[in-house]
Amino acid sequence: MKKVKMLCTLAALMFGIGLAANAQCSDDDVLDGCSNELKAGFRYLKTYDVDGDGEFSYVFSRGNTYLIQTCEEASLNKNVKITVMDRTKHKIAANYDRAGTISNSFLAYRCNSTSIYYVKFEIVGDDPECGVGILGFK
Amino acid sequence: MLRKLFVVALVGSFLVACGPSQQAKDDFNVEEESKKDDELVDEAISLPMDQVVMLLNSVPPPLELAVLMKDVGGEYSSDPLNPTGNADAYSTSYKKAINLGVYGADLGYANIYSQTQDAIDYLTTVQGLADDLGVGQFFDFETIKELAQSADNLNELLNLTTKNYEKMNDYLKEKGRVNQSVLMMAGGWIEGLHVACYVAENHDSQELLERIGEQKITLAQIMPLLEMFQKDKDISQLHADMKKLEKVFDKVKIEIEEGEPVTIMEDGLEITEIPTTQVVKITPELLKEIKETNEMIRAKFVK
Repeated sequence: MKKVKMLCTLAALMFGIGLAANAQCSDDDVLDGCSNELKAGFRYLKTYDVDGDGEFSYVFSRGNTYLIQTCEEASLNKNVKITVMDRTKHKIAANYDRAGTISNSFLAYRCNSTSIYYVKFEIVGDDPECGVGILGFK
Repeated sequence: MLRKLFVVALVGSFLVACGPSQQAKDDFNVEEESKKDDELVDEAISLPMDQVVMLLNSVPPPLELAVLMKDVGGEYSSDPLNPTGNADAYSTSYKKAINLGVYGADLGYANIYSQTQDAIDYLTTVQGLADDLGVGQFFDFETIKELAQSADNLNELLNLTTKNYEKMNDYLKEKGRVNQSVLMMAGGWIEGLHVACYVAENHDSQELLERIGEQKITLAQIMPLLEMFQKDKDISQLHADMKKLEKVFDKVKIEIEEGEPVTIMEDGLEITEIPTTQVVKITPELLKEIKETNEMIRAKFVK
């Protein structure tokens, strides 16, 4: 009887997990919350999933300043290292120092030569359940 | 018996987590029709999907160019835009998808200049094409329409429009309809270039001229994406035409001399930059050639 109870509990738990997988935290809410945090004057361009280490590329245009920021749930996330690399994948800007200490949840880069650039996210600590990276420009 | 119960529980929970909703089933029907219509198949993809998505995400939306057109003092004109009346004639999903990108660029341009009536007209057209492609549910028509009524809401309006386009794209990628995402992106880029060339011809701006020349860098990101869908005759033709444009852009020479990164403070924001000299060699004659080649490509799908 104990075994049956245990299995019923297990089954309920698994159904629960199943439902939770369907109703994971809403990306829309995270995105909206994060884009609302964009600093004054910056216009929203793109969103990137930050649910693990990742890299994306983008053609930055000369004369524009780009802002890359990361959020977990609806607030800024200071547990993500952001690195900007040039077309040769040489590091040119970061939100952390040589010791790896993260200074901000964002990084601003002013582009003086139009080219393809790479942005790398590295999560420090636990992966956020609903992490996003936002790219804005002005 | 207990083992069976365990298996039932496991399968049940998996089905709850992964089973399609009614909405997803409806979407699937639209996708099936869409695929048949275009004869587009995933087998056309020769690059891994993550690379495809990376390339797609690397292309700036036409909004960036539209902002520059306004910043350099270019005046608004609806003359170069695709008339909304053309949309009724788009019967294939190829034309619908590529012109969804075109009209999105036109909508952004009208929004940047706070041209409310034009913006609402383009918005209505975008909604219609998005519905036809089964992605209209991602377009918050009413809110965007409301925001478009006042210039005070410009940033919010642009943010929401960009997000809505992004959601449509994400959905298409998720559903294996990347080809339509690629077409939307290509249509938006071609239209952005078309309008920028028009403005540059009517408004003397070295900055805009050079930015048009720099589009060769973005084009280099677009070409491999079009190449992947060569099995589709429409995309294959578009790719062949874009090759001609690529050849013209090859004549644009870009020279870069870079220094070392520096960090400055501006309005309380720490900004990194690299002191750089970038020279873009593009003549008015070359601009004309780019414009004409791009117009030849555009004319094939907007009419």
